[in-house]
Amino acid sequence: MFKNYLKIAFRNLMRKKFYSTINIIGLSIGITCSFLIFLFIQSELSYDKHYENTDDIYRLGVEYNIGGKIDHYCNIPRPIGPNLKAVYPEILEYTRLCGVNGLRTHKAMIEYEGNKFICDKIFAADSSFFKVFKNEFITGNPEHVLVQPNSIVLTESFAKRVFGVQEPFGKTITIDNEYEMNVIAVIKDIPGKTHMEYEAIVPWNVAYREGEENVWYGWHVYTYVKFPNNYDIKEFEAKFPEFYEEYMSETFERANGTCKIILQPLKSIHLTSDLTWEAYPNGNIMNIYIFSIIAIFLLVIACINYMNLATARSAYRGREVGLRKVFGSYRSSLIWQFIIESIIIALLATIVAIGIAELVLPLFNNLLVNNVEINFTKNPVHIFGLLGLAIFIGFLAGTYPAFYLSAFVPVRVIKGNLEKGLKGASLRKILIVIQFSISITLIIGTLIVLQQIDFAKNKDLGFNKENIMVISIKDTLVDRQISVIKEEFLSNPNITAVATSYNLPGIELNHTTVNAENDEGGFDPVGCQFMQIDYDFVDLLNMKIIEGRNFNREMDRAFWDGMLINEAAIRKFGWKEDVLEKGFSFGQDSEGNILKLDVLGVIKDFHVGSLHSLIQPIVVFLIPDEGDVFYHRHKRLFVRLKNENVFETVKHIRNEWVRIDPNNPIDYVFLDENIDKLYKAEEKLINLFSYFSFITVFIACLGLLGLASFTAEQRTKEIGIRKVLGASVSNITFLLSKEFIKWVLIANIIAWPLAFYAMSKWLQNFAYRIHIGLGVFILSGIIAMLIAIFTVSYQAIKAANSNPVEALKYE
Amino acid sequence: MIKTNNLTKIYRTDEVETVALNNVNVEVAKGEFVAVMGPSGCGKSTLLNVIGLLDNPTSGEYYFNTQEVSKYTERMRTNMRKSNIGFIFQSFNLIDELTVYENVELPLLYIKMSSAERKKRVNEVLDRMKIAHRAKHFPQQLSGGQQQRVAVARAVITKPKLMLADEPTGNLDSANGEEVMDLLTQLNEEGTTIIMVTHSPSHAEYAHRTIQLFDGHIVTENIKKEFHL
Repeated sequence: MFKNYLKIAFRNLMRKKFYSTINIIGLSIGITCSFLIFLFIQSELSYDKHYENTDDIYRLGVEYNIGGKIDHYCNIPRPIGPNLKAVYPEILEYTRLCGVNGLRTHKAMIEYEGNKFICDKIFAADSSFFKVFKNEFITGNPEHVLVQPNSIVLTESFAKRVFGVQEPFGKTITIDNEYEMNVIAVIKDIPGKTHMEYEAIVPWNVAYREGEENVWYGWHVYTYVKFPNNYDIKEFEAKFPEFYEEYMSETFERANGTCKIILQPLKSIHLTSDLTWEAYPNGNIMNIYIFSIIAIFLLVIACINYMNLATARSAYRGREVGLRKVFGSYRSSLIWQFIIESIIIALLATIVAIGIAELVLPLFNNLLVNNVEINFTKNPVHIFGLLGLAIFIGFLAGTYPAFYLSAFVPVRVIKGNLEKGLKGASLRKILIVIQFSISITLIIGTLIVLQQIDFAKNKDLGFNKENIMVISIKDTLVDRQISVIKEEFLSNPNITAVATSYNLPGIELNHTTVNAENDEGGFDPVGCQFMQIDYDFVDLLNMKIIEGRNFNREMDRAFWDGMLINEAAIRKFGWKEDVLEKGFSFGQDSEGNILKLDVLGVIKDFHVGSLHSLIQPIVVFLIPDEGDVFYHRHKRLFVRLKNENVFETVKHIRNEWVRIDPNNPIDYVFLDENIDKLYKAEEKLINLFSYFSFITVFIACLGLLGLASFTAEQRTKEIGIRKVLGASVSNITFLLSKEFIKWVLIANIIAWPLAFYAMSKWLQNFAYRIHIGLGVFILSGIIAMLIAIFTVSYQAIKAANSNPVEALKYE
Repeated sequence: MIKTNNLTKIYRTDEVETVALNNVNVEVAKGEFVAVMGPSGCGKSTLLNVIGLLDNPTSGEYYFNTQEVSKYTERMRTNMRKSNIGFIFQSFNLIDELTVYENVELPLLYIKMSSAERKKRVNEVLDRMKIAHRAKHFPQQLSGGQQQRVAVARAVITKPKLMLADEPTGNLDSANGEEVMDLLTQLNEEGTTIIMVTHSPSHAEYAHRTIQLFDGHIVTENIKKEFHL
């Protein structure tokens, strides 16, 4: 019997090639997308699961409330980790991590026998690192690593990159021309995915800073702790306030703030954590939800096609059903027959889907910045997953048609008295409307995301971001010659301005608490952000001074000669008038007089971060030409280029830089590109929305095409009669198309409020956002409508052009 | 073999009620060949459907082999039908996607039978119907006469006790029509009870008895041939 079902299924597929193709293409696209999404979700859920005792490892973060401003950091001041371990025995181990070039700068140049390699995952860690994160050692003893200074542990693949076939153990490499390191161990590559990737680990002494080790506010490092198995973490959370009281409260009281601890389970960091200063961009649990919904949408749309075409074509199958019943088939066996048939089609579609998935995998990975792979031998779960998916889809798509078709009463069908698929027409209409509602919602979503990103990229940021090259200064010797370098650069007619700053718009600024003068002449601590710039920075960026003046080389010689603020700072400090007479205190002189930093000028509000957040109060300190008091390894050189000859100018600067800093390759970005990076997540979203809306529209149109062709077939006689009675081709085309257009119109009515609600929610992520206008809805409606008209008109015109005599004879 | 008491079948739609059979009393003996005639819409096919257990009557009693079957569920009717009744239709009603062989084999799939036995039985019947050489063809590759021979083969494959033929010659030319009638006669002579709906008086001549239907009533019954049990 099963063989009989198979035969019928295949012969039906072959006989109705048009419908079969539509069904298989639709289903295979649906399956491809769902499979890829399944792989993506599987990969996202796999982070940090490979470590031994991974459930017992937590990362420590902090929540600061400084002067009412609340910030969350994924890392904590240096002394917290060691002191917690000393006080609480339930902390079995702790380890701290810090980029070798500062907290987030886990990038360094490694040199071996004259060959240079960039390592962008190099951290300094406490010697307990491998006790918290158990790794498999190829060479070296886990007990003794990270103890001796000047030793380094490498991963297998990085060691291979540096040493090739040579044995790495015992070899010496140089890091950033500064540290000579002995390879003391090589570990296996991390076997799974992790939020904290590393290729090289050096001992803590590289990150050790005498003045920072005992600072309880600021100078953060990543800190992980390990608890006993099944330890109730709430117990520890409850203990933290007493620790805070004992060790930290004094510091925070001085800053007019408080601090709370945040414990993040290792396994959930990748998907749920988006705190300030994450070492790498994390995933987002929202993506998992969005993707799951999209996968379900796509499958539903593809299944709807199958159901629609299967039931529409019931006339062809009805006779078979009737006859099988006459000759002794139960309804239940017919139901099974149709479900099996649908599963067979889904399996065929799955085979096609595997091909498509292999083909589009690179694009998909690129889109998601992920490295999902299809490997059936390594991951048998993929085969079972796909098989399961195919059977599930076969079931989903086949059940309704199976029940529908098997319900035919034999006495009607054997007489040729078939409803010709008209029964169930309303359900088909509803299904088409659902498909198009989903498609239109996605089109609207795509357009709104596009508009918002366009708005964000073209919004007046309060400064001119175009044609600015930003070079990182890596060498203090270079830093000391800045004035000379500036002059040299400015001698090139294609360079119009050069300035320095410690900050790069597009990257979050540092926070501080300032003692701002109040109207009564006293000082209140207030949390705000700060920037450090030189005399030329404001002009270079074309920022506007709306009150007072910019820093001036002649008048301002040192940091304490004054500062600039933005408008938001005035609002935050509550200054109503005479802003230029106000200031901040920064200590007292030997005679007890308050040292005051005066406000020299007010800069018109400008965006340093993305438009997601409101403009923050910012105080701007001076970097004088001589006697820079701030310690910082990474000052940046801002170079404004003329619009013309940009390529040549960049080449010139690169050449010059080889001479200026022969030890370090030039590291530069363009400011506008760097700012545009703030919208990377949204760019990704646009890409996804565009692809998925294209796919849903495509699948929906496949269904429409099938139904249009079916309707044209069904109405052959009507068309014939109408033509005999004088209807023109356009009359007929309109007659046939109008029905479908009506459904798409109804789909608009459903999609519009849905999309409006969803996109309004999404736009709330932006402090500065577009207003959703009616235009985008109308445009989406028109797009969907045109696509639908285009899809059905071919069939309609074909039907309308047919010879009426043929049509009537046929009937 | 068949006995009906006041068999009534009413079709109802929202607005119209059509009485297709009105208190019909029929009795057909085992081995009898009965023709049913009457104008279009008189209830011939409805009668055949009820007798063939494809449909239940609205009221009345129906005894099939002394069993009252008028209230049978679909499943019970299916069970009764598949081992006892064969069908032949005017429009042949072969399944286009199946070959001649597979069409004929179809009813056997619904009664448990080994595949060797099925094969043997199908080949025998195809030989007998003189279409064995067409076994691998699809219905649309055959002439009307050949298609109806396949349909007859399919109807007899389960060796049913009762054969119901609904205008079996309606779509055939006279030569092919005669051929089918000869086949039915032959089957009847071998003991199969046949009830045949027809418009053709000459084909009705092949039957032992003709029932005339009009507006759902039996108007006359003519015994043309002697029939002995």
